[in-house]
Order: sequence, then structure tokens, then C-alpha cells
Amino acid sequence: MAPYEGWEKFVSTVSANYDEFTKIAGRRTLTRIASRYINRLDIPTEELEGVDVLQFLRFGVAMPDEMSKSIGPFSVAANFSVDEVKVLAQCAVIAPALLNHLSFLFDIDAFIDKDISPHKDAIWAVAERLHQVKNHVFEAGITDRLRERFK
Amino acid sequence: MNQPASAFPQVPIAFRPHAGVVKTPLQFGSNAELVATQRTDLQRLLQGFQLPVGDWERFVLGAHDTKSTVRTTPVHPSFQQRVFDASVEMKVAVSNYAMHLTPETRAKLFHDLDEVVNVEDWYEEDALPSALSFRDFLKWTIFSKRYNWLSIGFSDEGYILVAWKSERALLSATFRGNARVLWTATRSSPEGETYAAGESTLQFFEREARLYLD
Repeated sequence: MAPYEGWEKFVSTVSANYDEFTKIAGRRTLTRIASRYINRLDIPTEELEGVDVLQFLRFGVAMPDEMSKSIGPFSVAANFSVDEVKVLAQCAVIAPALLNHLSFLFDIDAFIDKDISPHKDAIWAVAERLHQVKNHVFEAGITDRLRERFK
Repeated sequence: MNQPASAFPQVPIAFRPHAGVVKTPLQFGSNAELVATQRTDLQRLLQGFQLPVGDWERFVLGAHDTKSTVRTTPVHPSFQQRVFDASVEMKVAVSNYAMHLTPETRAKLFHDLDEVVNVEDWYEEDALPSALSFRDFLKWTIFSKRYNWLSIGFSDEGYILVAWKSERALLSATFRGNARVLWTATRSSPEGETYAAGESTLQFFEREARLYLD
């Protein structure tokens, strides 16, 4: 449950849970390892009013001005890969979580689903790699203006 | 047909051409089932952060097989379970706002929920707490930055009741889960006590609260 207290703590909990799982279920063939972060970004509507959303998010929908100069709720999903790691990234406007804010979902699922070594060290090395890719996609997907809001 | 402009906040987005589109999407290994599952997750998030409500539980059969069979079996949760679930649902709501709340405020919320929503103090015929009502309270608290509520409770309908106290006034509110608040205020002055009551939006109630609490 939130708050998220950082990757190190998170992965240590996951590792302990996985050890418990293997004690009960045994070592199973792994078909997929993923690191999925569902981020909700709350931006005050007064900051968004009359401003291009690309000043906050660099991943969204593209729409020609001839179609409309503004856009309401949207959702977009894209599959791509980063250095052999597959990524399913989704971005959407969701129900505002706060008053006088607009909430954006930025859901990043970084995964591998083939040639997975069953060795424990290899599993957590992959998890670390997925975490790096997730960070790379997140950082590439937001602007400095939005990054400032996290400080 | 286009929605009216007032139906949603307008967010201008500039046009830019795609860098490139792959011809074989499955080269990424995302099969339709996976995407469908994640779409469902997304849909759930789009529905105002509602948790799935239902009396179904999943049992995994044949755990020692290489492939597990999952069947859905109806389960009727007990009264204790329903009260516990209601409490958990509200704590999950708190976690959705964790980044906007201090650890002290989260601890206060959890403590107050445990004090109020428990099997000892709840009756089977009582309506369970409304998570929507509780979310409105959280939204309002973050918006107004008023973390010093005196007490919380729940109405017969399951709406959260909250009270605040200042040197000269007592303010109480019922958050009805529809972005509106019913409130009452008692203000003391040398001329005696004055009473006021109203129903307003969450934003308007923040302005009203200033009159009594600041």
C-alpha cells in the first residue's frame, strides 16, 4: 500500500515474498518478469488552463489543430522496447483525484517474457534492469516543469 | 457528436508526427490477453478509483500442476468481514492520497478509522461507511489544508461526519459522496450564540469554513 518508499525497500519485500512462495510452491518456470508502475500525476487546473499539456507530459495523443485546438479525456497505449526490455506504456486522463486538479495516469509496464533464467540472482538482476528501463521511460515521458512539482 | 465544452477541462495538445510505427506489434510479445487485462485495469482506474465490490473469491485448483486452473466461486462475507473490508477500502483511499498527506495525518486517519469502524461498535443493520463520502472528505481536507479535525463519525446512511472547533465556533459537516456537503455551525459571541447551516459544494464549503475556523 502507498506510500511507495523506494525501489530498494520494495524489491527487498518482493524478494522475501518470493522466497516464501518458492518454499511453498517450489521453483517454477518463469514466463514473465515485470516491473509495473501506475503513476497518477495531479496537476492544478489553473496551471493547465490555456497551456499545452506537452509542457508537462511528452507522451500522449497527437491531434492536428485543424481537428480541434483542445482535447478532453483521452487514453493511449503503446508497445515498444528499450534495450531488449519490452514496455507497455499507457497514458490517460482519469477522474480528478483532487479538487481543482486534473489527474493523468502514466502507467509503465516494463517486462521480459522469454529466456528467463530460473536462478535467483539472475531474476533480481533482471528486476533491476526493468526498474532502470521504467525510470528511463518515466523520465523521458515527463518535462522539467512537471518534474519540478515532485520537489 | 461533440460534448459541450463545459463537460470536461480543455487541454490543448500540440500536433506532432509519430516517429515511426512498427508493422508487427506482436514482435513486442504483448499478446491480446495481456493488453485486455491491462485495459481492464485502466478502466478500473478511470472509474473514479472504485475498488471492485463483490462477493466473489478466487480459488486456485491443482497448484502442483504446471498449469493452474482458476475457478470463481461465490462467497458470502460475514458481518465482521464486511466491516473489515469497509475499513480497508477507506485505508486504501488514504493510500491513494499518501503523497499529499504527512505521515502524522495518515496515522491520525488510520487511528480514527480504527476507533470508529470496528465490529464492537457496529450493528448488522447499520449502513457500512461510504467510501465515496470518505474520499470527498480526503479531497476537501487536502484542498483546505485543515488537518485538525476534532472527531469523525458516520451517519445512519454511511456518510462521514466530521467536526472542527475553533476558539469561537464549532463546525460540523456531512460529506455525502456527491461532491456536496451538509454543514452546521455554532458561533459564540458576547451577544450570544448564532447558528447557521447550509449545503454547498466542496469548494464553497472551504470558504464557509474559513468564516468559522480562522
